[in-house]
Amino acid sequence: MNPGSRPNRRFRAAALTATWVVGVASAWAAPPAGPTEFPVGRTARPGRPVVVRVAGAAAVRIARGPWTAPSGGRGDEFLLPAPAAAGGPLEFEIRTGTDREIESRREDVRWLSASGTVRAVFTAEAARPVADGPVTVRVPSDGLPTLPEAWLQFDEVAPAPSSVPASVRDALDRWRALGQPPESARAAFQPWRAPPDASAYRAMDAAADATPALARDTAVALFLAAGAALVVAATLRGAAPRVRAFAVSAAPIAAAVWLLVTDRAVGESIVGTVLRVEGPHDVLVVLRLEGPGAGAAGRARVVPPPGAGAGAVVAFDESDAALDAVTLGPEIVVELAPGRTRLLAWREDPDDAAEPARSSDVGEPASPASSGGPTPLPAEVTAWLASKGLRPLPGLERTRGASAGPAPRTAGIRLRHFGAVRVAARK
Amino acid sequence: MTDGAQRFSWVPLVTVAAFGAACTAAASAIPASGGGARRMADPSISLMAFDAVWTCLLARPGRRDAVETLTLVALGLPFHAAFAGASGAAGAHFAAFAAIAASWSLAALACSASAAGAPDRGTVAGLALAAFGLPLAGYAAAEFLDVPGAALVRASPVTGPILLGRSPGTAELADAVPAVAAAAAVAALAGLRRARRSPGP
Repeated sequence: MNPGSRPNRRFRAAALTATWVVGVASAWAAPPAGPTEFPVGRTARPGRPVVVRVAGAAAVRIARGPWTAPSGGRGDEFLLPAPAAAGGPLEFEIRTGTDREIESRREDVRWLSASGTVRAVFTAEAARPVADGPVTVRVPSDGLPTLPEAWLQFDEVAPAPSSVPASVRDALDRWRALGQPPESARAAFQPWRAPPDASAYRAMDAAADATPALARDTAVALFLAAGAALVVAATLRGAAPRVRAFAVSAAPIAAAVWLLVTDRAVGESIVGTVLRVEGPHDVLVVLRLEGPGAGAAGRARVVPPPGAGAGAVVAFDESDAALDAVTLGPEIVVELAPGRTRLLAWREDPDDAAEPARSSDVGEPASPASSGGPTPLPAEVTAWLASKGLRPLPGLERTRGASAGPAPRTAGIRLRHFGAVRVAARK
Repeated sequence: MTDGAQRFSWVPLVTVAAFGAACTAAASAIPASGGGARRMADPSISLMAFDAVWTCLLARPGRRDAVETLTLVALGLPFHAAFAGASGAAGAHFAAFAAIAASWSLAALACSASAAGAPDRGTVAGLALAAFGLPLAGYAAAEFLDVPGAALVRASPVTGPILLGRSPGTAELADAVPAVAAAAAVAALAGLRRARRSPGP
């Protein structure tokens, strides 16, 4: 008898039992995902988002794209960036539970033309295609998506039947407020319809290089602390030592407490640079994330401010292979290797922005005096805006400070504000 | 001299406030396009410069009490916190710098307490040696003896915070050990001299 064979057999049996138990437990913890449902029909359009529902899925993506967490009114809609080019079935990858097990699926879709007008009608409505008129797509009347961006596949949507829930009606109203059809200059403010854009990365690199490291409010707090200490030093020379010590320390300690309470003294490894592009009807917010200088990869979390559109990721080019490090959804999670950068973007309404944005009507430049004065834009930013059909308003190229617009909630990011650029459509 | 009012020196306080404001102006400016000017806007430069000046003032020889030292600490606190935060400093950096600043402050207070009557030239010399002699010794060890001298450079209250601020995101608490050891040595020297001067029973 081979010495030790009995213990080996026992060990093997124990290992097999443990594997079986773990397998059964995993299957119990993460039931298989449900079928892939297309709430607006089995259609896709190059460069437009696709929305699906997959019951039981923790995250879904179209192959080589970013992961998407569930969102929407029911918390079960997955808004996915579609491939830039049409053709063939969509290859989905679906993650269930926390076991990181990924299921691959291929779903046949009808590809719609990237150009022209596509009109959605509800199945209850009789579709009457007209020669040379818009392409008509029938969408179901129930189970419709509640995300406005889910309707970006279409250029026109027929009036919704009365049976449509209020959340869907609200999403359609917000979609209409985005300014269709696609020829509109407002498309430049919609990140879910933006193609891969290397020039945006170059522009944001230049913007990050031109952004002060210390936020304006932090600098003001430090100047106030220093000024108060100097004034006290000059005026309280004859006071008792403890009184003078208290008087000198009060303002600096208050500043230090404020820095700690507001997380301004927290040194996160990922640097975020925010650029706001403010048009007369829309605001495009671009957030550039730069990975740690060295060491391990960093993780950033971003939640766009309330009222903002769904956050999108900007691909560098067609072969951008690092999009799987991004998970879109109500909270955007980005894993960044040292030295890598990633751009996120979302749309905001001007009403959500601060006063300077509301007063920036085309041709009527607002006074920048209250916001720190304009400073020239980097040439890369101007070139990127031109590629989107936008031009900076003269005299309002850039206003500094974090006061321009609501800030996103972030974790793991040192946020810097490049400022706001007010733009108009190029003539 | 026992009057606290006379021992309260304004020069270090004014220096910290003015230098902190200058570093704030540098770190909050829009970075220039040139290499050197651009580097000046990097918050880690402000962090290194401010921390070096601040620590030197905390460790400077001379007579003072704990109230003045604590006032100096409070005055520099927001500047250090803001520059370190903007530089991406990890928690270990804050802990290591706190250990350096505290140990040199205590060493300076120990030297001040030992200076009864005439200024204690021995402890002044010890502080000066730690501040300027250790970095030179570290450089000489690396340059001429091919021996790593980083620990000696880290031990100085002048160059220790500068080295610590160069990589605030990856600093470790162990980086403060040389400075704490050097400060403890200076404090022990001051204690010995005080014991020798004090009259016996």
